[in-house]
Amino acid sequence: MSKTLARILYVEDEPDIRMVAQMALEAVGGFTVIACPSGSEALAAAPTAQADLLLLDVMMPGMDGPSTLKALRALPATADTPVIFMTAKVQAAEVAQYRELGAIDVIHKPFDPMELSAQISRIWAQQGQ
Amino acid sequence: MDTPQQAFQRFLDQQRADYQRALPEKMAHIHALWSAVADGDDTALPAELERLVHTLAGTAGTLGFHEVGAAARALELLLEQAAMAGQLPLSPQRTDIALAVAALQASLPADEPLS
Repeated sequence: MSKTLARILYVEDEPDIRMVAQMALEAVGGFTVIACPSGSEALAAAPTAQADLLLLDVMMPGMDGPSTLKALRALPATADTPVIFMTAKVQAAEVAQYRELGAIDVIHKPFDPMELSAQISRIWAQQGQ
Repeated sequence: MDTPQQAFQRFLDQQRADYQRALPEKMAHIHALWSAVADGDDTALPAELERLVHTLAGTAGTLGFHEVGAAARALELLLEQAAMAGQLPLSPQRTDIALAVAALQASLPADEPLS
């Protein structure tokens, strides 16, 4: 049976993008979003977030997206949680690299805020989550 | 009463208006950083400049300023290439980057509200 996507742990360092994406996912998609400005804050939030999906920006100061994912994978709460990366770098080689890290898909930045929820829902459905 | 989508659209419009007002200052900051980098003032500045341009590329595009986002992305790629060379940009690269900085400034939208 497919699992319903309800809660998203979202990590993005850029405040404007974070606020717009969070509002988009909540208002348009009806998701509950736990938004974190850094990988370290995501690690602190993860144990209680009950996230169905991890949505990670790739390029962040300090812990970048892949490093954050590696650390989240070490936590029981997020050891197997599906992950989508968001990045401006979507060359085939880079996308392949993100998939090797376990991403179910990659969302291109810049993104359309009004379409973001639909895009994530499509990815979720295609993966049979 | 607004639907959640309508409320979000109003929020987005306000974000765009706020961002448009802030863009000239962001452009001036990038120009000043580039001038300092070109003068070799501080070895930490190229990374700061690249980071600022990367943020601008992502945020401007997402908020609907596609020309600014594209110009910032073009500049970001040039800065990445210069960073990979591991040194301050050499003369031909400087010219290309200076042109890209100028193109970025030229991409500033007019003051009219977004449609």
